Amino acid sequence: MTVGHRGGARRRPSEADPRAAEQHACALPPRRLDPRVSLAILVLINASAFAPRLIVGQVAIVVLAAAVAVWCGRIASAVRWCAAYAIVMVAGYAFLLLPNGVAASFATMLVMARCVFCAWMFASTMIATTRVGELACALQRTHLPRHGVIAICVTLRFFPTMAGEFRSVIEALRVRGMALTPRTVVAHPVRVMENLLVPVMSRLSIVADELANAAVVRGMDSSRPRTSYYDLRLSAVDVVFLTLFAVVAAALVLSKFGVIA
Amino acid sequence: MSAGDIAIEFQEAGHSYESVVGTSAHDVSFAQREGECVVVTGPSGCGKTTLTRMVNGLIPAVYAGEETGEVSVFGRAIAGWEMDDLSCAVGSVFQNPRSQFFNLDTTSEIAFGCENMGLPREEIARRVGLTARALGIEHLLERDIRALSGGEKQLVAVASVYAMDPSAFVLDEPTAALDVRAMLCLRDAIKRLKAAGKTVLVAEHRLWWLRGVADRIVLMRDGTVEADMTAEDFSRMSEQVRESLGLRAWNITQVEPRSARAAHSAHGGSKASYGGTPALSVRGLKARYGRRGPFVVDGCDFDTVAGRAVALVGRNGAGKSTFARCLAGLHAEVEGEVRIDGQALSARKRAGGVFLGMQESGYQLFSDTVEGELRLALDARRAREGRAEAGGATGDIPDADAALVKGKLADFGLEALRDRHPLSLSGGQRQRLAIAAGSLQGSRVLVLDEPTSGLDRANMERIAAEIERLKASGHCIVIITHDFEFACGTCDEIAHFEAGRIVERFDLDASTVSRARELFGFG
Repeated sequence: MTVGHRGGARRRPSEADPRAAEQHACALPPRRLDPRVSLAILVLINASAFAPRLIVGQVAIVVLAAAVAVWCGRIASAVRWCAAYAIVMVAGYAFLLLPNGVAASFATMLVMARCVFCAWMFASTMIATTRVGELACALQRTHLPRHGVIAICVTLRFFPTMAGEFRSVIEALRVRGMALTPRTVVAHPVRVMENLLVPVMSRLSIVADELANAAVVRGMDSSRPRTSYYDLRLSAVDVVFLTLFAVVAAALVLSKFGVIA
Repeated sequence: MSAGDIAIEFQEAGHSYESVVGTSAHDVSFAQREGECVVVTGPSGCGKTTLTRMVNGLIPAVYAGEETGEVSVFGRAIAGWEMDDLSCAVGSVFQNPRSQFFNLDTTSEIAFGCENMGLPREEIARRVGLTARALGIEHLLERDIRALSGGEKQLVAVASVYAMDPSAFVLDEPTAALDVRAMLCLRDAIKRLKAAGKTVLVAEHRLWWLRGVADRIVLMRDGTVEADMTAEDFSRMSEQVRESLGLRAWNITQVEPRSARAAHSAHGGSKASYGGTPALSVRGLKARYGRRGPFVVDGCDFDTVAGRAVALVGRNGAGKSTFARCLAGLHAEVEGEVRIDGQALSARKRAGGVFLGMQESGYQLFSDTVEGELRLALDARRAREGRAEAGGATGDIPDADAALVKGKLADFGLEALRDRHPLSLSGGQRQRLAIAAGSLQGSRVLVLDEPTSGLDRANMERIAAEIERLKASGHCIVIITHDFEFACGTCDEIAHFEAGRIVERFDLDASTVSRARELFGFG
């Protein structure tokens, strides 16, 4: 993961930018998968994540996840994720070429990173494109209890909030002349964690409290059965992607148990 | 229920919180008729918010405590309402648009309350459409909430409540994060609510935008009602009385720049230095998002001397914030140059050297005491100076530091708070501490982004006084603000930022005040 991270750090200025540029366009993603399909795919990816025997299968999942991202109109994101995956993969093999213990442990770490990579990649597309209202609708149909539905939806909404809070605090540190640099992170790890986490946590707790108030007055605790604005219908694309993911995941799982060599 | 029935009634009502999360209220009595718009105002900590919570049921549902007297809504005591029914009868809009949304897109958000109430799908769809038409926000449907401006977000918040079809609306400081144009939009929305016969209760600091909408003004102080008057009576109140009550302006056309009020007495000094070398000099600055995005800051030139405060005004999205972020080194420019005291500095070098006071000052505080916060600022300054001079004369620094910190605490009136945790301070105190830290950190240039958002008159004046002191000590201040009263109280110049550059600039005085008013978005 380290290598991937460093690559990300160098790209940081331009990486933050498309987000803001998107803000100016501010349109919702043009297409999206049915949230039920997204959830099912996520489960499939997780089930097959630690069956890395078939490199081809893993690459296939990355390609499929990229295809979903492209179909949802997130081309830049798909390219970035694929590039990051390539870096992690190449780095993993590169470490294997060095015949010592430290390198081997790094290589193991990278292999682990690659296993969870597909899940992260798909989840990022899902979080960016799924409408919370549709997800709630999907979960309600599975007869999940009301509080479970809302907890999952609020969690989904919280990821972008949390990312935003971290960004703000990192910027505030720079303004205060206490910029995070590799040197300060190594020299004063505890202080850096404190400076970063204390403001983020306190901000998040304020947001959580305010959100809870808004929840109460918007009838979140109501005893009436919850309904939905959305009416979900599976499209052909949903079925195609689900089938493709299912085939690859099945192949991976079967390979793990030695059914396929 | 015919118009004229009592909608909301307080009868010697009071609430004291179990934990410290708000000011307690006591012996509050007043009644609001249906279709009426009542504004509750008063200095910070007067109990306005508590009053709104007593109406929308957050007291006692969320905030436990001791209650006295009775609050009734549409003839029924709060205790007698089911929370479900109450939230359908009384809609609430809060201060911070960011933390009242559950969805990431506008349409889902507007539908959200109705979904919770278990309305059938066709009915929800009908109400979403109806709401958008009634509030004139059809163009905001099907959008990413995060990409909306503060004003648009607040309109969506009103809409999401409107869709639940409540008869009364309670708004708690809804304009804290809004600019003048957005406030005018919100005023328009409230007019539409009134036209539809809704009852509206607004708790607010900033009052001018409610002129012409509010029917009655309720003044609060120390947790209880001090006066309850009609809007006409309130209009007749003299500015002096209003000032002594700690209230913000009611009629914006009466707000005059300080220089017009207090002649040119204290002004001479700064005028003299106006011709000197600029402390901050920007040439041809260009910045954008992404490699191919349009230039948000586009060839901006800007000079300002020490001892002056310049207000940067302009529409949302004109690029003011990006410009400020560039100055503070948070965003790297593509082209152009920023000089501080004649020295050209790269974005990386500017970070920490130009202080940016953020709207949410809570982010900027990192220590566990107020005093420690100032020490951190001083450490940052020493680190930077140390890097620049590579070990100059650093003899008796500890003593000098202690004296500097003590001096700052005294200057900014923070002595009594020195051992408090920064995050336990009020919004105004936090803002002052952040500015104090910025000046102590050795930044010659301080850029402040909406330093008075959500502050009452007393806190606004305190911040204005601090800025005066910073000017006197040779700092150069750039303020992004939509608070006309505040600008009049402290700014020497107005710079109009439009399409990525400064298109117009003038001294703020009696002769230019009408143009300034226009630029702020009035009239």
